[in-house]
Amino acid sequence: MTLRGDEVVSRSISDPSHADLQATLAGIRSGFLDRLGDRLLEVEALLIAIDRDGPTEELMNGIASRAHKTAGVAPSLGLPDLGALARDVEVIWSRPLSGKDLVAAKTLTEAFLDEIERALDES
Amino acid sequence: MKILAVDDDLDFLAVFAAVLRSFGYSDVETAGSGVEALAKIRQDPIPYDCLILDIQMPGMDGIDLCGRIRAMAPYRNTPIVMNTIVNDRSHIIRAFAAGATDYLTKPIDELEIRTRLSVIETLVWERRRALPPAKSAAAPAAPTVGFMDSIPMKRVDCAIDLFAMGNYLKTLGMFRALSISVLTVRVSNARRIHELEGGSVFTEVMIDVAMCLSDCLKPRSGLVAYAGGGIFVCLLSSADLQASDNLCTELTQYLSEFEAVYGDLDIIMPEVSVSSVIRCRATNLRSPTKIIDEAIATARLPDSDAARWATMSAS
Repeated sequence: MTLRGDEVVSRSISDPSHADLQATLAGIRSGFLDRLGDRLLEVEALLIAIDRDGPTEELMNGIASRAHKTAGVAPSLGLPDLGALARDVEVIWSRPLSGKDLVAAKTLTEAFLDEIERALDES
Repeated sequence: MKILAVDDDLDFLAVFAAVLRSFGYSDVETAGSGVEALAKIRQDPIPYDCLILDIQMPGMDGIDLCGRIRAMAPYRNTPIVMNTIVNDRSHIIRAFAAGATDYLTKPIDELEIRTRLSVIETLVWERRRALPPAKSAAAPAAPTVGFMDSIPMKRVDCAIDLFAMGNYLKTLGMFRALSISVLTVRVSNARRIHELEGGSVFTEVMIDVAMCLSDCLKPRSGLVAYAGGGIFVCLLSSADLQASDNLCTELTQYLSEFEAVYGDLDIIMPEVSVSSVIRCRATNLRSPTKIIDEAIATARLPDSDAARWATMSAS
């Protein structure tokens, strides 16, 4: 059983022993979503820089590390789809890219950014 | 149980600590980097009972941190659990070789964490109970090592304890475990060495054998665990086994380097035999760790089929 924000919140109604955990997770989720907006802007800026300067190691690592931080915690905060996409983005930017692979990596990253926007809209 | 969780992702760390506290683990501390973790460990006069480390962290990664913690005397046997999003074989084997006890994968799986920590808590309490009482000035006797006792091999590269070896197979998962093979190495005159040389010399001889085995296994990314009674269990990728056909000869060559020292000290040289290979089979899928039990059980049979063992003596 994976902890998901929405599942945890619903469980709290029937299981008062988890009320403290629900409150803590809700607070962490709120802070995570606040930072997610900044992360979206940072990844967009990195994509623009890649278009301009090419896929340098620094720019690729920049996207991979932001995706990594999203992938680790998003599923635990009720955002499993965002977590899965973030993991794919992390993996694809962690290997050398060129040509078709680079196009695929950018497309995947755009989908990741769309998913972030969806999460922010729904919050 | 006093726990230190280390992760550079502070959101994850907050969620993880909250989940642990909800399980009743009230003594949970956190660190946001390897450097901060080492500082906490060095400053705290009461050692942590369990450490939970992320792998991918900037600067010092979790595997490096695990090795550094393991090198500290109070943490030689402390459970160290890796908690990471990466689960490829090379990370898993590096983590266990660095001294990890168990390996969890993100995202947080409530049931998995609860189960694994419960096993680790039992281990912590059993180890505490097994500790000798505080020494008094009048009774400085050293503990005697029995023939079947486990012997810590922490200073040997590639050596892990049997509990961690089982967790390594579980972490690989059912299908990747199918690519693993097991060999046992038996010191055929182990009983005689223990009886004639005593527990402490026996311990040193077994560590020497483990070091030689480690030299053989290192190029093959293998792992070794001591099962007691002069028996070692080695895990290797089946793909590397063509090269391990001559493991017994190689091991004997490494051991022969000890001959002069053992001769000077009048210590009996260990004679080793290497079992035939046991491969993980489809019938082991539900419980890949059974292959370890099977290998040990076969090695302990008093009249094992001699044809299944390659035996050599260094002398």
